[in-house]
Amino acid sequence: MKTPADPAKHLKRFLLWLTALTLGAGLTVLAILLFYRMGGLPVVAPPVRLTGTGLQLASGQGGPVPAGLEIRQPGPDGKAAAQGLVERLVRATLFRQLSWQIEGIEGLEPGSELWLVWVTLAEPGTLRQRQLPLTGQGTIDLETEPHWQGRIAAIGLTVRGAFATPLVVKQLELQAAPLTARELWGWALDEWRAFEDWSQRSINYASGAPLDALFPPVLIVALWIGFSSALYAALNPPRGRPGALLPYAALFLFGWFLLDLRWQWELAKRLERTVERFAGKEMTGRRLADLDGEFYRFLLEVRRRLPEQPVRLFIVSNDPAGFLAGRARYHLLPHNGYMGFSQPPPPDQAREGNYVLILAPLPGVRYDRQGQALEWKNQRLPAEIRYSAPSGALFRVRGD
Amino acid sequence: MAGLQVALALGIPWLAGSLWVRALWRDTSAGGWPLALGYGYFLGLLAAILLVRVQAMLGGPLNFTGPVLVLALLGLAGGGLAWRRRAPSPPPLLLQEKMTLSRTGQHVIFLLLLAWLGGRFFLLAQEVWLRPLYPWDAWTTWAVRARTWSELQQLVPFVSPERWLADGSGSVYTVHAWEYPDAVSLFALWPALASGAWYEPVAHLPWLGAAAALGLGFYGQARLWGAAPLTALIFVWLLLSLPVLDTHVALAGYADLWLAAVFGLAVCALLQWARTGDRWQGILALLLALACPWIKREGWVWALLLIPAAAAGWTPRRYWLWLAGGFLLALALWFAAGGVVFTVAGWGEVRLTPAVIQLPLLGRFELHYHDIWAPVARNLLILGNWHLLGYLLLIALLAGLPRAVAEPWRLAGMMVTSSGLLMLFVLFFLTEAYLWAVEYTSINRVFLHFAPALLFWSMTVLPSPLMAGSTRQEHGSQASIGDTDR
Repeated sequence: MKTPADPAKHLKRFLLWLTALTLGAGLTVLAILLFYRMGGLPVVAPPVRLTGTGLQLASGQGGPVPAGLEIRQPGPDGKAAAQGLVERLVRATLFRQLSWQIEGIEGLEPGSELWLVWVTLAEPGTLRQRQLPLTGQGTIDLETEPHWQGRIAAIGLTVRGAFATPLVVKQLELQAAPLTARELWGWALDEWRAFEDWSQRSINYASGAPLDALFPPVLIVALWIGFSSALYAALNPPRGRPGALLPYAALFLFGWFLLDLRWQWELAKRLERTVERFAGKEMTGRRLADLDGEFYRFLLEVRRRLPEQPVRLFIVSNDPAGFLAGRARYHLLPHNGYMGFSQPPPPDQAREGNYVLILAPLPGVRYDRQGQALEWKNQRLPAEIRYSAPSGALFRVRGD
Repeated sequence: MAGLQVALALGIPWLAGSLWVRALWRDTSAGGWPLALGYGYFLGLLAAILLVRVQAMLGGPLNFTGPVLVLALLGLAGGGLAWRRRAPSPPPLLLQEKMTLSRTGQHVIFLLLLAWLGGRFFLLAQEVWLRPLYPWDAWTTWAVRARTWSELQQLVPFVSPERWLADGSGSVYTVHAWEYPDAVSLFALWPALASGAWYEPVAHLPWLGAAAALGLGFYGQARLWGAAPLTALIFVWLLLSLPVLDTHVALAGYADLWLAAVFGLAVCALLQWARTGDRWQGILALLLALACPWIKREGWVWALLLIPAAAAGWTPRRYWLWLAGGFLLALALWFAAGGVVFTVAGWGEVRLTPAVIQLPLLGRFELHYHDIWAPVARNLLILGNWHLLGYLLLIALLAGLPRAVAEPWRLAGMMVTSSGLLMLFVLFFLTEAYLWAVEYTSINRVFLHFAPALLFWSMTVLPSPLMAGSTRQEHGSQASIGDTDR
């Protein structure tokens, strides 16, 4: 059967298609705007609530009670601190409304102070703080706080001052602040332009935007294509003629292509980083430039102290199934590594001529240089030290 | 020299496999070569690693020379067979899709799409070549074995940690997942043997080839199904643009890409067999299904899922009701009896009860319902893992269900799809593996195994939007790609 080739008809269908696509985009924007402006934000970004079980005493004496976390008296430094982890690692610029509830605040001596403390994902070792009004409950917006940035890893409250009656921290809550239409648009653009390099999580999922995005590209494109398809069907009802489904297929493929375009952009940027780090280097140079480069440098020194022929090698670490133990085993192949011990192997399993690589830190294990033996928990393994560095130490097992 | 040897190690098995597959399909006009190149890659490489094992088992050295020579001879024989079988081409059994687009339009889009895919491959290839071994399971399991064998030039055994501790000789090695099948490690070992030393970029070249071969095999089967070149290439693009699949190429070293490709191509061949009765397609499906357990332990489950579909394709239509009735009766009896428990000699106890599933090699799974719809929906429909594949699958299910029993291939396709989805439901909603979905660890990797098969099935049941004149028009429905007049 021949296809009717009427250019005017084709042009009309194409214009209808384009109209549906454009109106579909408008409808998508409108639907999202309505959703977020009419209270949808807490559905997508539910509040972070830390109550009694989610809070821990960082300073002072006390413990959990049904109402929350009770602090009976401050620590020796005159401070009482309750802290908790923010498991979802929320974005500071979105979750900027903080509210707190503390019972017994009226029992604080005059001159006491209440502080909010927090740690971000980017600076896990830096404790940031800001003074709060000394009230039993309150809410503040942290928009203007300069260090309230990035992703929040932990938050807490610190009370400075003596108190006669116990304090009970009932709740600490972070809420997403309502966003204006302009702010929403800004968020959408930021999320679609967000770049994430390869990580150890990449093999498991590709989020295509921040994992907690307000505007996940796949969903937005699906909505857009759905609206556009419905509009096209309304503008040009399908009548079962040949090729009637082509415009819908074209819409679907257009949506897929947009997503693939973004994915291509992300892959290209990732490759840029890969090229920067590894191009033009030999394999050793690449490994030194890899995520465990410094550790690899240590392992090169370890390898120099091992015999040419493969030996039985016990890799001992405080995380036997963890990253460093695994990398050590792989990098030291074909030495016959075993990474199941968090303490040196007992003498009946490690034989003379075997090697033990201890990855630091490994508390509770010491080396007796005089007696040439590893010692731990009333156990002893005769071994001579072959190499020692801040990352760990290599030993050769001796006979008794 | 090492480069040439690597090229030979990868090229000769591919060529040998392709020539043998082409010899079987040399009469088909559409998709014959792509199909041969796609299936030939996997069959050739599987044959190569099998020969490596046989050579080692017979006491020979661990090298690539012997297997390459055998495969070169096999390739010559396959080539000769393809050359000599000059039977006249029979008329195409399946009518071809005709498109509404002009020929020029089709060619332009085809070339643009090909260039896009070429660009993607170029990008992924650079990642494979530049980045040292990166993903977790690769350097804890698969590559540990490959590198050990490569550096020792010997297939030393990997044993359980307990046995390793008890054996002080140093002649056995261990990894945590010591009992995993070894095909993936052997895939990495094969080019490393040719290069003469362990070099990660070379060891991971087969992953790049696997993606290319999956695309070629898929394209060939789509063309054989009756899809126009552009339609077939569009579906290949949909497949090869999936972010999870691309990631498994760029960060080469995992087994999931291999299982996805081998199982996916097995399903394509099975559906072709169910549709045309072509015994060679049946044999391809069987060979690849048998390879699944050699790639990953879960391969057993995926391979077994093909049995209901094969039964549907095999059973004459008049017995379908009996088949369904028998299945329901067996299910009722199984439930009434509280399940079945039996022992397979040498393997262990099999326990299939409403409360517990226990399978040798796979483990024991207590069955409890876990409400994990939210993470499942997020991973399939919201996050960037699959582009719009989740939505396409929903559309395909809607399109495929009404005519699921219209023809044997439709029933076979629906059986594969529904049993696969049911298996994923049981795994993620009823067992402790629900944590893999909640923590986003394995849910996408397991779904990846099924993705190529689902995409091919979707292509077969979706109405062809590009079709100018369908080969069979029914009131209120539009024919699928390549629908027959049978």
